[in-house]
Amino acid sequence: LSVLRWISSSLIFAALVAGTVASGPMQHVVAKSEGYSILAADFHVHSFPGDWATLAPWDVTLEARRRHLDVISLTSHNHVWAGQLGRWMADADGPLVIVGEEIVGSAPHYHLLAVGVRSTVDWRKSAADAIGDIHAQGGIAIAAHPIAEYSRTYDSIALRELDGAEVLHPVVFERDESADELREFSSRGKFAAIGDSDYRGLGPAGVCRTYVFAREFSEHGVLEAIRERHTVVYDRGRYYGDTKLIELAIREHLVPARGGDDKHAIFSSIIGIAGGIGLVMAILMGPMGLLRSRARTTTVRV
Amino acid sequence: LFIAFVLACNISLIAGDPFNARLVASAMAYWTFVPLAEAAALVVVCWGARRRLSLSKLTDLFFTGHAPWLLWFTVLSIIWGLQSPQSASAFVGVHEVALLAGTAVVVIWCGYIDFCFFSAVLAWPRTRVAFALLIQRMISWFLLLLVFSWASLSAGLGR
Repeated sequence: LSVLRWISSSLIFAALVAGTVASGPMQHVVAKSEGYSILAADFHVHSFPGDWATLAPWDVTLEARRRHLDVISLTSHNHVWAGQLGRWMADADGPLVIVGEEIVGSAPHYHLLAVGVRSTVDWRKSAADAIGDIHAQGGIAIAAHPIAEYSRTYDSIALRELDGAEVLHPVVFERDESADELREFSSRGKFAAIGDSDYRGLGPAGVCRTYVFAREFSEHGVLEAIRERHTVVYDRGRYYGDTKLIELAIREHLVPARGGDDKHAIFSSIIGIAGGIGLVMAILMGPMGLLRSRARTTTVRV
Repeated sequence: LFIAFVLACNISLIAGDPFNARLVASAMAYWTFVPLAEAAALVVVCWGARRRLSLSKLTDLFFTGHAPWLLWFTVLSIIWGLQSPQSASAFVGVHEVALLAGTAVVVIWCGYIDFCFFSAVLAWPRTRVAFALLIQRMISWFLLLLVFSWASLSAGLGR
């Protein structure tokens, strides 16, 4: 048994060392072309606590940096304090953290991203009124995953005032119909094309992302670029957004995303399997097993 | 501490940054709330039994019943970590029915272990054990739910 415990500890220790080394340097240079800073952004990110998410704001920002995101918006359900905490803790190496909120509206049901707001927008308001509040605070409003279930509530006023709509979201990987529904919603108005991952710490950050063509790398520059619809989204052979900017993104080799991460993915899988086996062994034979024998002893004594 | 460590390692696996010591250490700090919530619920339920067995010993013994769900969570995390980024982010890596069935088995299994714990260690009658188990679960699960989703819940309740 002691040999198995030694193997378990060694596997976990080796995985921790290899996992830390493999996580590696997080340097990333922002692409610049034709007067634009081309920023990889994810405007729909959740964090722990308060939301169904596994990582705290400070860990979310580091994971975003690892995945070469330049901008994220922390958008917890119906509050902005997680975003404020994340921005306060963000360091100069990036990414740029914009305070946000995912308004889970109740009258009727809708999900709306408020990006660049200062205080919480009331979720009891209609979508159109909520968008008005967001604009009054200097923020932008993005329709979150507007598949059929969430898109009915947007009336003509809301559609006219919306700044952006998610045309790429992990729901498109679940079913093709969802991708059709997102495209159908995008065709209802002139919205900035947005790709967001609705990140919750499950899987890598920035799986879905938006390329923002900003005149300056700042919160103001990013929000202004979205108001001007200066965004590009790429999804498995499809491009969304401004035609000229799509050509620029292709020319700059930003889309399709470059490969070359295969070796790293295999290495990560090996680390995960080795460490995972170590954990399983530890659960079966480590402190739990030890305590189980103590439990039996104590039970006999009682 | 061991439970928090296993949880944090699994969180790093799921996040696609497996066993990054920085992430594990950080996640361990805030995921300690899970064993803390359970211990708090246990103390409430077993307050009257503290003369029979100290609360610290009682807590130690109680956590021995956590092996099944830690094991289940670890296996799920390994599977999750092996998915493509798209599958992992869209929750399609593990079949929904298998996920629910496995979770149901683990919930029942852990419930049975804890039932035996209250019966054997505290020598309580069956009805009292069942009541204690129910209260312990209600308190701890409510605390966990609150930490995860208080904002969503507030919107849901107001709807």
